[in-house]
Amino acid sequence: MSAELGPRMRPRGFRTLGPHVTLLGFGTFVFVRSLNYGWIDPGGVTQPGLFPGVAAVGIMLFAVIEIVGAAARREAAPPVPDRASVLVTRERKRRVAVVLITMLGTVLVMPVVGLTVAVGLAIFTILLVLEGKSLKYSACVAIVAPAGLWFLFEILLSVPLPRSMIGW
Amino acid sequence: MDLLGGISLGFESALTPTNIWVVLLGVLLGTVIGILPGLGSATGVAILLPLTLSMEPLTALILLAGIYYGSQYGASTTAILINTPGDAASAVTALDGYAMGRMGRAGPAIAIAAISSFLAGTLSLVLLTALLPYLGRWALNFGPPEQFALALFGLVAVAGLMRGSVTRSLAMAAFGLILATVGLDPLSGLPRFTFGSIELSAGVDLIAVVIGLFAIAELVVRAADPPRQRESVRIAGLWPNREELKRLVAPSLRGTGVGFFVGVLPGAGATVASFLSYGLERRVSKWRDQLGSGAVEGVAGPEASNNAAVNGAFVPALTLGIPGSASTAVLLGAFLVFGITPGPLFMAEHADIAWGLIASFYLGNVALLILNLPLAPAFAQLLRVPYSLLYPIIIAVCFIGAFATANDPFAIWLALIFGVVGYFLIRNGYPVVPIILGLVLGQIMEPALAQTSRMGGGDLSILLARPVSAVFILATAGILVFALIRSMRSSSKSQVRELSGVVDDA
Repeated sequence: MSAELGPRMRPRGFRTLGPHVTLLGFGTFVFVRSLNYGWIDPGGVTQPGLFPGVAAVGIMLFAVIEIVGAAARREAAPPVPDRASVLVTRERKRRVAVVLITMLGTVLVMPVVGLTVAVGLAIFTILLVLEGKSLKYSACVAIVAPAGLWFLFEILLSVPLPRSMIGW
Repeated sequence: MDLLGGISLGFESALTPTNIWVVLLGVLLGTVIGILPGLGSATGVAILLPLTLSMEPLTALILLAGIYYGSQYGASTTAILINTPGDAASAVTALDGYAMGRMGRAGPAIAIAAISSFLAGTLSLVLLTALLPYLGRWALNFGPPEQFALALFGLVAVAGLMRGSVTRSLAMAAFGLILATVGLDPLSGLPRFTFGSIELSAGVDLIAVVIGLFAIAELVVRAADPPRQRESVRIAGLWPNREELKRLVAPSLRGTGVGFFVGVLPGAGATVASFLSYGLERRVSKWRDQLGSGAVEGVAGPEASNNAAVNGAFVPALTLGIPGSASTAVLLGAFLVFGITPGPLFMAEHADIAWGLIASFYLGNVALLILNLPLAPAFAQLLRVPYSLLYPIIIAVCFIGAFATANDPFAIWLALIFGVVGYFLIRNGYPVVPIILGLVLGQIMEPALAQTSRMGGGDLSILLARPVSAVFILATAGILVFALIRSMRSSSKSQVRELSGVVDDA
């Protein structure tokens, strides 16, 4: 079979281009901003925009190479996933989403409840919701671990941790 | 400062009761970090950095360096016991180490790894000690053009010689350089990429970025897998027999030579060193036929090599301020936290810290051997701690660690954002190590470039007019060309493979 597109082959196309295109967009943004800062003054001396501007050109160049490479590369069409692998993929996505949302929630509630309580809530949520541990087990770990960290940082190392609105 | 003066100053600084305890604590923590899944040496140093904020700079750096090289020992323990290397540098140890474990020789395999690491550590420290004064003096002659060219060389060497896509590595290095420019321009005071944020005016906090890219991103990647049953591991006897002890000497010496040389070169690192050492054993060892099925040489050579590489990496890091790996980049970042600027002047300006650190390596090397052999069965029990319990606690440590270093809640946001960015980068095959190197080296490169430009009256060809900077610029160009050719070759090979795979399928 030649390298032409056959029935089971197709350009990798947009399936894998997303990250490279995002990178190209980022590089372009930095490049444009760097022009505002100036690259080189009339005396030939470097200005604040030169260094990030050159790095941005590098990113754009490498992103274009990746895009061209990915678009030109041809691959066999992926097999249709069976039900079991669909479920595994869905479960993996759910676990990632729960961890990310929990971490985001932790940072958001931190000003209200303080850092120590916020990380305790994060530990409790992950253990209970994601890892399926019992309420008692999750609560114990969620109390003991942050308390230990609080003792280590606040008492032993004298690093004041962010407190809640009511001073916890 | 001459060699003897340096050594005596170093031991004088390091041999205080506090520092001796800190060495022990550092290597112990490092070993535990190496054993625990999801925590590498760079992450370990980053999340434990806040513990050192109230310490004297030398004491803090001794602790952090102890964590760094201690984690190399821990990583080999997991490779031998459960065939899961704690880091990439110990991957090759798993081949023969795990095979020895399956033959009931897990204890001796751990002891062989510890003894060969000790031998390599000691010998490479002697080499490091001997080289430092000369390189330190040589580096004193470096002006801004040489500093810029050297930092550029270090960055391109590390990114260009990494495994995987060269263009992606270089793109990530450029990303790191851009991150280094966030904040007020050091010369003009102009705010760049701050978007009106006061927090960003001070720049991007290195430790928060490291915690995000290495710890949080890795935790999210691992959290995607449902919990697995942890393996229960028992170690019966520890001491190798006489035959095994005899066989470990030669590969350890060969591994030390390979490892130290590779470690000194920016970009190669402990992983390449351990694989090269294994390859060497395959060629020259008397027992090469046994490699892969539990040969002493397969454990001793790579373990010696990766430990020697760790010490070798300190040569460019301490004398030139060029990190050869993510871990040394984080360590150099820790120097900045304590107000010490790594670079050619470091050895002259902070001789007590430089030599004290080297002296602590000798102590740490002995401490690792003394602690790790009797404690190996206890360390093995750490493998029973379920990851499902561990990672929520590590997330908590990451958040508190990010806050404590900067003393600013914004650092937690930064760690979280870079955690998410890192997760998506890793998922899409982009390496995150060059970002850290770019972030650290960018802080050296940009002022050096500006000064070079002023020295040349705006003419950057001064970089090629001075011999040392010219050599580094040409070497950088050479590495770029080599890396891009390698990238194109591997790309066309993989395309041929894909096409032939389709033909086969058809």
